[in-house]
Amino acid sequence: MKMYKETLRKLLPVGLPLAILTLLYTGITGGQNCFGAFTITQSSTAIGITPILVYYVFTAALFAFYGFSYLFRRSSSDLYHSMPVSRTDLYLSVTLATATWMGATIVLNVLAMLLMLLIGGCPFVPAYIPMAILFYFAASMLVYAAAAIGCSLSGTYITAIASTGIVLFLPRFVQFIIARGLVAKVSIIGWLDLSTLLNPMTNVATGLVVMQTRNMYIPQIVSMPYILYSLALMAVEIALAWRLFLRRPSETADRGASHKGWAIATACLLAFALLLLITVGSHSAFSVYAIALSLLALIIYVIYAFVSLRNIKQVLYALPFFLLSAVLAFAVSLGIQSTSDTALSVTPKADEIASVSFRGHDMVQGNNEYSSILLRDISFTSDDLKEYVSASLSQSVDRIKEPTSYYDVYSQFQIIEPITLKLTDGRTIRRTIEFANVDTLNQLRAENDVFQTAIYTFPPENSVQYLYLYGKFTDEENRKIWNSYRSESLAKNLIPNDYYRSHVLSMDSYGYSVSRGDDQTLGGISYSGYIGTQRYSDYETIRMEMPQTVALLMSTTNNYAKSDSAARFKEAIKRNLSSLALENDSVNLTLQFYNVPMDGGEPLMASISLYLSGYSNKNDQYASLYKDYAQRLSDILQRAELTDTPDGMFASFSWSMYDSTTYDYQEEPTAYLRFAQEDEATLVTMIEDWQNTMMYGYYPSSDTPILSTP
Amino acid sequence: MIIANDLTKRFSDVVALDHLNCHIQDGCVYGLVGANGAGKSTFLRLASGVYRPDSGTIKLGDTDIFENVNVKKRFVFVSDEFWMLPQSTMHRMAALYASAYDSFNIKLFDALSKEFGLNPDRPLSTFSKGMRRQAATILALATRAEYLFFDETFDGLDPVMRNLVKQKLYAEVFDRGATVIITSHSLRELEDTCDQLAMLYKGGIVLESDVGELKTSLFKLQVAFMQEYDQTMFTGLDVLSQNRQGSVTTLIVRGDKEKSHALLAEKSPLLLETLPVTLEEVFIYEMEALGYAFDSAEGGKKA
Repeated sequence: MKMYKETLRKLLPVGLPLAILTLLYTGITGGQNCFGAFTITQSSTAIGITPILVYYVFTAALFAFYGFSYLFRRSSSDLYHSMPVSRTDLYLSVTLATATWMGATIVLNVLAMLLMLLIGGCPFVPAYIPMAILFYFAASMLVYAAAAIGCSLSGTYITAIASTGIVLFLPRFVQFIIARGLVAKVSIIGWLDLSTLLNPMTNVATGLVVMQTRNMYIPQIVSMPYILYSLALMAVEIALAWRLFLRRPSETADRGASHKGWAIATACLLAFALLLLITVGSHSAFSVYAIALSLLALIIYVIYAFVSLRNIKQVLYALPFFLLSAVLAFAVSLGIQSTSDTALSVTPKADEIASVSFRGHDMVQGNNEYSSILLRDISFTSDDLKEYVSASLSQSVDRIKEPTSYYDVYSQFQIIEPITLKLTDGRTIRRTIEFANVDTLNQLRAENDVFQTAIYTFPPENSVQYLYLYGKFTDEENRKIWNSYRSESLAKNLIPNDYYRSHVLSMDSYGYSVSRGDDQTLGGISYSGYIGTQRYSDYETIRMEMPQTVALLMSTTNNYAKSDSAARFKEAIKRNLSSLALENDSVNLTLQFYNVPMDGGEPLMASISLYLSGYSNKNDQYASLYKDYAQRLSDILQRAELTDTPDGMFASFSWSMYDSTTYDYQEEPTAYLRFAQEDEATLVTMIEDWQNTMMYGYYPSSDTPILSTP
Repeated sequence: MIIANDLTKRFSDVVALDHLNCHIQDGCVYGLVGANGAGKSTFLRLASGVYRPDSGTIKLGDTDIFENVNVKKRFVFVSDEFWMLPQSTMHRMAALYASAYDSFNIKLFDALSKEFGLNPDRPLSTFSKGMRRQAATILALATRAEYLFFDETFDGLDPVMRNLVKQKLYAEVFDRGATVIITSHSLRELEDTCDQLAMLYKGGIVLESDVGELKTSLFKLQVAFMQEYDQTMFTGLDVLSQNRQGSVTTLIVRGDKEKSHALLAEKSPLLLETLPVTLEEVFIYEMEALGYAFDSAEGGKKA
């Protein structure tokens, strides 16, 4: 106990500054999240509660190096090992003191964030608090355990750092390289299809590193099985470090490694890690890259052998072992090739598939929609679907074996989904494959009642924690529109998630897709929440098919609109077109029209967007069109009135201006407007002309085309 | 009693201690002398439980020392290089010692610091080499350990401090019955400090003796005769070494000083004088007698 307290005190120079720095960071970022502009949009995850801890966990190695620093000098080693303290007590005092510093700092950071969440009234998931603490603690102690092993095997800082790196990262680096090689060679195996053996997330410490480059893992990393596995691994490594510490000869201090064999093994493993990059890559063995990397591996091998063995004769003795690294790296590449070939040979026929499940199309992007949570566990067994999946898998495999141009197979309905196949022989395989037509896939899936129900289901009301529509809306207004959207959608039996709707679009007379009638969209709602500890995040489109919600959205938007907006817009246009305008002065206008009676068929959506500036008024090929439209539209807008009725033709009106003399940027709140009866026909003509001009470069009021090439 | 039996320690290809045997009695000041690399520090590290023997044993009584906390409670080891915690003071180091030694006496520590004139709250990094040695000695003494091991302790100490340290060590031995083991590469350092002396040479103790006995066992006679003389003139004396320059011969003789003097006096010498020998000379001549030829007490080669 005395030695534990003494070590706690010894670690103070490391622990205290880090605790203060992390708390400061958590306070600043947490404050921004809770009290600043991000309040509404910021969706926290267990890992995101205190993001600085992602980096803090790796400082556990510093605690180990500092706590065991006496092992690296003969004088300090003499002092500690001559004192009447058993090696077990020496080891445990550093381990427990590190656990105390790390644990306390993690708990303080999480509690500080919790306090700010409570004070700021920000929603959060209570289960994330203990999970975050457990997760970060497991990760940090895993880092510590690796460093403790490194220190126990070494007599200098350099060899301790190298050994720590090998213990902590090498197994996962090899695993990552194998996984990357497999994913690169077999594109139907995605990162999320990898077996547990190749899953880089099971070790939460190294998982934090992988997560930086593979963001699809972010929603998954804080998972209880991974935490439990990491805690078990941590226990094993701490026990191993303890054992090595007990056996470590005191005379290792100031010498490279406790054992010559370990010194050579470390050098081999360092070289192996580098050589692996050559053998699993697509580079030729004689490319500059491969030769440079081989030389680098050899140099590192020799330097490390020299640093740890400190004897030229022994370095020469160790040299042939370098070949072992090369052989090992080559063996790994052969293993990857063999695994890839095996994976490509598995193309089960429909009758060999017992069931199919879809793990969520959004997983690949690191997202998790609510519908994906519901659909993930459904086992589809219909023959038609199995047939479609089997054929799609075979086609995907064929494309890998005989690559074709991307454009040969591209279709706008083509999608990629991660699937799990349970085969009749008991095997389970996971693949991420292309389906040629999302609508076909959805139709086949819709034969399943559970699927059919799931795609119409909204998340439980109390699970939705974050809503966002328009920056100016209050939480209450967001919630009101969301409630309207939800009830209207349920009443009309609409599928909220666009992915599961038909993807066939209306076309205009030019063959361009347009939104008509009920399909016209007025933005959307972003929302996210939690089911247990699982986070979901969705975006639903508000369409004209929901008139009540549309009307509510329009009226809420208009509450923020200014009555003199159109008059000021006219003024802004006048000034911009006058000689007073400077080159950088600009005016932006966006008019989104709804229910426009043109192009035959149902009324459609169309837009006009203008950009005027002192510079473009002189140089832009569209300048005359913009000037003409700006003047005419500013007159029409003067006569328009606010509306919250989505019947007949109306428009959302947004504009902004920049005054370069005062550096003043003004953005006007959006307003929904209805136009005077006499102006509607004019506007329809203007919209048609606008589209003709934009598509063919020809403006009817001008004698010559604006664009040289129609 | 500390007993080493066939004690062997190797560092890669180097044999630092080679089947060393010794018995160190309780309540004495035991000096270990030898050239650099003779194995003195290795012996102390084995004795204080820092190193594990490769073979053989080193025990306190009949108990092994390595990883034996109960035994090590009675030991304190002052290495040849005093290590301190980063940015620490003597008080901070005292806290470290106190965490390991239940017997650590903070009052004694404060008193010794005052006596040595060291400020225990001053950063150790500002201490000179000698001051650090004093600090290490103070910390060791404050542990109240029964066995105190000092590696090259007097290195870097000025004569005043050297005397003060010696006084403190004597006090430990006389007042508390402590046992002190000191190593040095210089016999002169140990000559007036130790009760027992042992010479380490190439990992083994080649000579071990009581200092008092050593000093009185040999003496130097300078003699000259009127007539020509040869070695037969010294028959009856146990001569270890003789050196003739002109008519004067210097003899190193073992045995009874008065009887030897009387034996030569009977032969009517022109000059007969008994001179004291230094401990260093005793060592050299004893070693030569054992078959080792030394250039000085600080090194040598086997004859």
